[in-house]
Amino acid sequence: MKANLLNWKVCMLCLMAVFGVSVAQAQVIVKGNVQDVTGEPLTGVTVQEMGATGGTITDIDGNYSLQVKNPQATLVFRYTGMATQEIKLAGRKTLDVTLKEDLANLEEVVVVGYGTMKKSDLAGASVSMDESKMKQSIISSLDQSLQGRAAGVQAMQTSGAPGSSSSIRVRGQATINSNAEPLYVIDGVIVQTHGTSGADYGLGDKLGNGAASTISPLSTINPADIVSMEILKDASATAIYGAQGANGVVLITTKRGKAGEAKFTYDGMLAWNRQTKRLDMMNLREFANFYNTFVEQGEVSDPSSYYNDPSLLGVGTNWQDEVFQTAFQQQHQFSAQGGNDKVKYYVSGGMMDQDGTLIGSDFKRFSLRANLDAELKSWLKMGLNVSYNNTKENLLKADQDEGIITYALTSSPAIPVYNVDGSYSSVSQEGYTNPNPIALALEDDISLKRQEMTGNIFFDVTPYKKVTWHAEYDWSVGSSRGDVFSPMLKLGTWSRTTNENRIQKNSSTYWAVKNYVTYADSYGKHSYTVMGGQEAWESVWDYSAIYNTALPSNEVQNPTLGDGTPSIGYGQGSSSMASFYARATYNYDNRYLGTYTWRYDGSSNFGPKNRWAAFNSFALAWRFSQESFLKDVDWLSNGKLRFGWGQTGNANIGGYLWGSPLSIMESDLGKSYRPKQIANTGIKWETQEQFNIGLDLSFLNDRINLVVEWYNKESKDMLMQLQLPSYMGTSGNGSSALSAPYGNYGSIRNRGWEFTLNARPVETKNFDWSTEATLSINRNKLVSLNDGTGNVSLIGYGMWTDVVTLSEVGESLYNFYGYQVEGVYQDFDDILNSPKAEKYPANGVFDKATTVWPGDLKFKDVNNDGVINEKDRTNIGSPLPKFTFGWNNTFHYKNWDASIFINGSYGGKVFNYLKMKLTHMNSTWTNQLVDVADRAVLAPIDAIKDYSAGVDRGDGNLVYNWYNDVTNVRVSNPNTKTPRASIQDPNDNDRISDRYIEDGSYIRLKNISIGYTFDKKLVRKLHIDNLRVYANIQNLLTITSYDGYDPEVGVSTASPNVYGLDNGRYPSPTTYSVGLSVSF
Amino acid sequence: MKRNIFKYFALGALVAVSFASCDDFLDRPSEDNYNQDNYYQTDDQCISGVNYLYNSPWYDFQRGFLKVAEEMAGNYMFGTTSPYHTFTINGSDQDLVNMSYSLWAEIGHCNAVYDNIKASSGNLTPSVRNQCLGECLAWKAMAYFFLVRTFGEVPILHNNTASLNAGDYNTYPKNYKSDIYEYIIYTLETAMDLLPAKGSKGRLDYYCAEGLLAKVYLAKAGVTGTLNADDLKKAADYAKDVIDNSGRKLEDNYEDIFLLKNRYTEEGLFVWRWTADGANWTRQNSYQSDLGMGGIDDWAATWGDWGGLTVDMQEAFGIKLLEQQPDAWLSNVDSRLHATMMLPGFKYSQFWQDKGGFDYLEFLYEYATNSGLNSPTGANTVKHLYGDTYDHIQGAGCSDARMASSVPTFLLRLADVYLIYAEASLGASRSASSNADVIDAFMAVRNRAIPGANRPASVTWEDIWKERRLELCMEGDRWYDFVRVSYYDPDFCVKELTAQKRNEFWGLADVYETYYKSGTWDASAASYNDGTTAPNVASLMKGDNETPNYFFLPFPTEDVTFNPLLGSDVNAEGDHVDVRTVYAY
Repeated sequence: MKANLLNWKVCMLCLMAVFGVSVAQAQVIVKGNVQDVTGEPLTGVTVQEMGATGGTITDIDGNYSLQVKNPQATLVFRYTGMATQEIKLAGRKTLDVTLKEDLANLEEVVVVGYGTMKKSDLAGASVSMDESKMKQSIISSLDQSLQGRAAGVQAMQTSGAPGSSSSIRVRGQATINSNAEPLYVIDGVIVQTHGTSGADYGLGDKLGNGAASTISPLSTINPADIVSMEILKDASATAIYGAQGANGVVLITTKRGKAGEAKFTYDGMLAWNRQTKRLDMMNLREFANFYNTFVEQGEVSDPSSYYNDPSLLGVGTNWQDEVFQTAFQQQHQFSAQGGNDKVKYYVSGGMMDQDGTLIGSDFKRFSLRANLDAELKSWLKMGLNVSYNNTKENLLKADQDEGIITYALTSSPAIPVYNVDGSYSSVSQEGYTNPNPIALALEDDISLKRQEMTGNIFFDVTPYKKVTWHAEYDWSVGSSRGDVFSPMLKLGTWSRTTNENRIQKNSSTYWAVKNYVTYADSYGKHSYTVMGGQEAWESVWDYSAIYNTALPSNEVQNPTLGDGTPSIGYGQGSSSMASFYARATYNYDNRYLGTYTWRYDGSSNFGPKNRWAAFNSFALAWRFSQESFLKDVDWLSNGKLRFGWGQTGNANIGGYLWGSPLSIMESDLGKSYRPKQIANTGIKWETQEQFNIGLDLSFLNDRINLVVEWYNKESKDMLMQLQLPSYMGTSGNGSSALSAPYGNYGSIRNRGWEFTLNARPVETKNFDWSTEATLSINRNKLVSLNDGTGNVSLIGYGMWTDVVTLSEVGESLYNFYGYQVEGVYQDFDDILNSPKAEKYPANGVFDKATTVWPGDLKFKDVNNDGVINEKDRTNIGSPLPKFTFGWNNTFHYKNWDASIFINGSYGGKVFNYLKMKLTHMNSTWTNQLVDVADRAVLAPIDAIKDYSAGVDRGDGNLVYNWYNDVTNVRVSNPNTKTPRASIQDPNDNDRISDRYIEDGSYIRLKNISIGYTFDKKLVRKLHIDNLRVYANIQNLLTITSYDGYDPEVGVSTASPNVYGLDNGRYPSPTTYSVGLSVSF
Repeated sequence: MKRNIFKYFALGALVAVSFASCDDFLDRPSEDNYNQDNYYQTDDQCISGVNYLYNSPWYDFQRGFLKVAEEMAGNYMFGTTSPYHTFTINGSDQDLVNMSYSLWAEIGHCNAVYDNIKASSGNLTPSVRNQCLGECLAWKAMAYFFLVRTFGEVPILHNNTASLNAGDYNTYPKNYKSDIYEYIIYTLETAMDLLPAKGSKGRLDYYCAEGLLAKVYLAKAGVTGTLNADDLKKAADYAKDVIDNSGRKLEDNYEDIFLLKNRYTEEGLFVWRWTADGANWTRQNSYQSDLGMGGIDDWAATWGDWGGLTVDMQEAFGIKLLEQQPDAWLSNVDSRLHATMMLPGFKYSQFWQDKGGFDYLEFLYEYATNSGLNSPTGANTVKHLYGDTYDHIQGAGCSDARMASSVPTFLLRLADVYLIYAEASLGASRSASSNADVIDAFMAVRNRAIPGANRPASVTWEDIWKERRLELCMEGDRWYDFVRVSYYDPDFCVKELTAQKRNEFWGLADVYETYYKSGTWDASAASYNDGTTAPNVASLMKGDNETPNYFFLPFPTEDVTFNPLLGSDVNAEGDHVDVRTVYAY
């Protein structure tokens, strides 16, 4: 900026030279200072003499000095975001000015997609989130910031791993498609997701087999560059994105330069993450007692001398303490911005480094951004945004049967982490091998590196005032490298003598061309805009992978060094879309507003017959507060009733699902090609229709604002993979079964209410308090599935082939499905007098290892047919919350600021799948929760019955103990809800039942922060503009009745159609942070 | 304004161009693979389109294949708590579910490839086209044969695409077992019309299908509750035709059948053709991982230590570890013993060829990952193993890989056809036969295993029943023998299974260790666990008096969720369907 000032001074000198001394004598120098309402000097304010050419801008301290020709002239002060002021000099030679924020122009303009709109003109439903709200959370990925902040937006963190993803649902789950995430658009460029599963990145099934994983496509983006987010919720708002808008659209705006001297900002933060909660697992002494009871009741035949006297034992290994760590996190960001009224820039560079609370996981990001705005000609503006991001993360398998958390919890406390010689220990007993979780976490490498260069360049051509032609070219070039390395490892008796290495590189290129012309005009009380345009994009990707085994050592990871048979993989593909769109808005006297949107999309994902589809929407709004009868009502500052209807689409299924590609399969008879899927040439768009009514009310000069929305959205022709019974040949290993066809198979309705209330209850000179509360209520219903076929439903699996959820027509999605537990069988009579258990012996001979037995769970005979079987499974709870809420408060007192953010969820159930393994009591090798002490304890009814000669159990076989004699066994603690311990578990007590369904409601102190901003005058002496220090605690307190680590369990990473299943989910940590923000 | 005109022109041109080129821009079929429409155009493409029906879709069945057929039948135990050992299988059992997945996937693939080749517009040689179509049908018949014998009544799925289009797939009822057998026979007869008399190396031909047809008739013969003499006659006739006219011969030496280098042996009629060579999961045989002891391979990917051939199976070969001295097995006359189970003192020259051969005891105490004897019965399996990487390269010409070998799996061997012929020839009365042909067939199998075995004057049903067990042990067959007999003589099956010695030995590890270190065999301190009572075998039979008793396994629970008509309590007998009029090939 110095250069510009210098130029200006040179110009002035030249001017003086031209006009000569006589002119100079007539001139007067006016000096002064410009500041904002807080007393902060404003840099870069343009100061001009009205009617004259030229002018000056204020320096870093807000001072200006301007030569004016006429001492009576009017001076004009202009500054972006501030109301322009015109002040008559009236002969004064010093003029200090205070500029006020221009509320009409700054706050009310919102990004709407292919343009901006005044907020007061909006007729659709959208919600804004500005930087200040995002800054209150400690986030590594921008999707994490959405939680609880915006009504109608449900955000659940998929994992507590650093940089991990969140599942975001705008107004409920509206599609079965795994990709129900909203569309993210950054400065007009659609964010390229590059897939969401571990397999997409070449990590195979190392992170699980689900379509979702903990990898977040958004974590490559630096949240510190974002200035605001607009979440478009209803169809009239999202319709302009047509086929891509069905799941909602999040429009993200990054920071841009402001005219003025260069301003540098540094933001830094240090944080410590901790996993505070521990599950109450048995220690060694408790485990020994547990083992001994197995021996006492003949479940295990060999007593262990090691466990003879539990009181002599220590507490053993606490595996939870071993796998969790206090993890350090730091992030730093430098930015510079400035410019003049023609050219403005914003550049930033940031880094983040976060360790995971589970050992062996971490996330690092490095990012750069440059945003440039230039006014090339009075009719031509140019913008250029470029960002480069680089991330590196070490991942872990957590939410799985074979995940670190499950292994850590089930590992016996009798095993040390390390052997005496320092090597890892492991347990391998009678075919049961529990790998050392520490070794797995630290030694097995699952790493992912990603790089991305994204940007766009655009020109706004204004041939004459009312017309703007926006031409834009977007691009995104990305690459990733997924690396899986299983080293040679010796864990006690378990050893892996051959290592394996697989490296996959993905690359992708995306480009888009956009052209749209906007015409805006008004006459009288009518104003309107018309916009029409075109867009086309293409996305091309390929990958190559190499895998090999038997590398000479673990030191160098390069598959080509291996001695095994190397295998290579390669694939490529592309998709494209071509679109045309138009929008018209109309405003009559700021009272009646209307918007009509049309979009016509063609997608390469569909066959020739169904390639194109049109989407329409309209919205109407009535600002009744502008009506004459309300205009003079003081307490009502704004009142608007909105009404909208629209269609959007979803084509998000991947390419060529309308055909049947072949894939290679080797066989001993030679190479083979196999059909991968059953084709469905008729596959077409999923469409969604949404109806929205909204009411905006502002009272007492906008001190209280209330927004209420009601919506009804229905997805039709849902794109999904048909779920078929296994006899259709479509179940099992993906490389052996046929894939079920994708098609349009049903409809889902989401209906709900959203409330947002914000207020500034206290506003005084030294203290103010602002508060915002949001409440979202959504009801979800699967309306139909593949009409006309009767018994159709969607199944979700827990691990492997456990059916855990069933979505039936007429119900909400993802209901847990299983048996209901009525209690435990008290004794033989109870078994005889209850509905017949599945393992009720046909020949009447009971055996504690192979038939139902006292102490087993009594399941409810739901269909009252006298028999307990598969048909008694029923809906045992919905994972979907009845409502979710957020409540944010910010306080300012003098230089202090503080905020408290509370969020919560009510009414959703969580399936504690982990607990199923921690209470199954069918192995003497795996540790269990202390809770199993409450299990059904068996005792003899007749303690003195003589068994010395054996007693016939009914089939001629003799039994010699009371515990093998079904007629002499009872449960000694009749009120227990937990079954007996049994190695064989013939009654399948750990089957899917409501025993594991828990209330997942919670209320959470999500963020609490306090900051102090140093006095400007004080810090200015250090040439510092602004200095703020703060401390923040995230997830400090969670109130819940849920037994597991964390009730916030979102979408499953193991399988589709499952929500709220906790199989050892990586828990979200409590984070303590301190930070510093300084600008100069 | 000139520049404006230019701009509008440019914009207009852009819009026009983008409209015109849109359809090309949006047409993107699969770029990195063939698809159904551009493949199956040549003879070679059709043949390679069929190859994978011999392996990949069957992959998920590998575990169930042995757990059902061998463990339930009391030949092998995967562990004392395995539900297949204790007869406590439920409908969500992993191996059961995978077995069902696999069998139906094979059927789905057979139907798909059959349709694709039939619809091919390529210029195909008729004999090649027929051969490929015949292979699809023969494999489909094999899959149904496993289904009907495992689950009893199942739906018939003739054409997946048609069912999908009709959308009625969740309302399919179970069908009569006899109808499913009829469907299998119809399908095999069609396949036999298409298949060549002599197939190329390792592939199905007319006689393979006919051998299976004989076996299907033998199983079907009792399905109504009494043995049907006509069915048995057909079984015998078809089997005899294979024996006499197929040109195939039994291997001279029993153990040679299972050598990796000998995997295309003429004796194999239906064989899963796995390969370790390649990258795609399900191409390969993973049995050594489940059955081999830790340390036998180079991948730390074997965990079969804790399984073993049952005490009952040992006694069927005449071996009593607690009562006999090692000589009893070391010099046992039946070569099948050595080829079936590892016992102390046994050596295997085909394994660890690079290390001078494989000695069972030496391995246990010097090389095993989990040192010492871990098998509860003291006898680890031999069949399905190949050894180490060197052995694999020697035998198959390519390296093995983690959980991957090229060892073939025999589903139907010529020796089985000999025994089918002998058994079927006894007729519905199952009375002993002194017919020379019958004795010849029986002795062809027995003599190979026991050279010089005495030729009996007559052969009884029980002789054949026992011979089948010894000959086909660990080959996925025994349970299905029980199933077919249970159709007409359930009591016999319950009695035999209940009487089996299915439990483990205690203290055997010490006996082995002493024997290895000192050469002294002293089993006096060891014992057989006779405290664990026999499993409740009858619990896996259809229970009440109204329906015939026979063995069945529950249909996977998840399918019952989709289609309640498959529930264990619904429609026990199934619906009747007139197979030959309803379905057409």
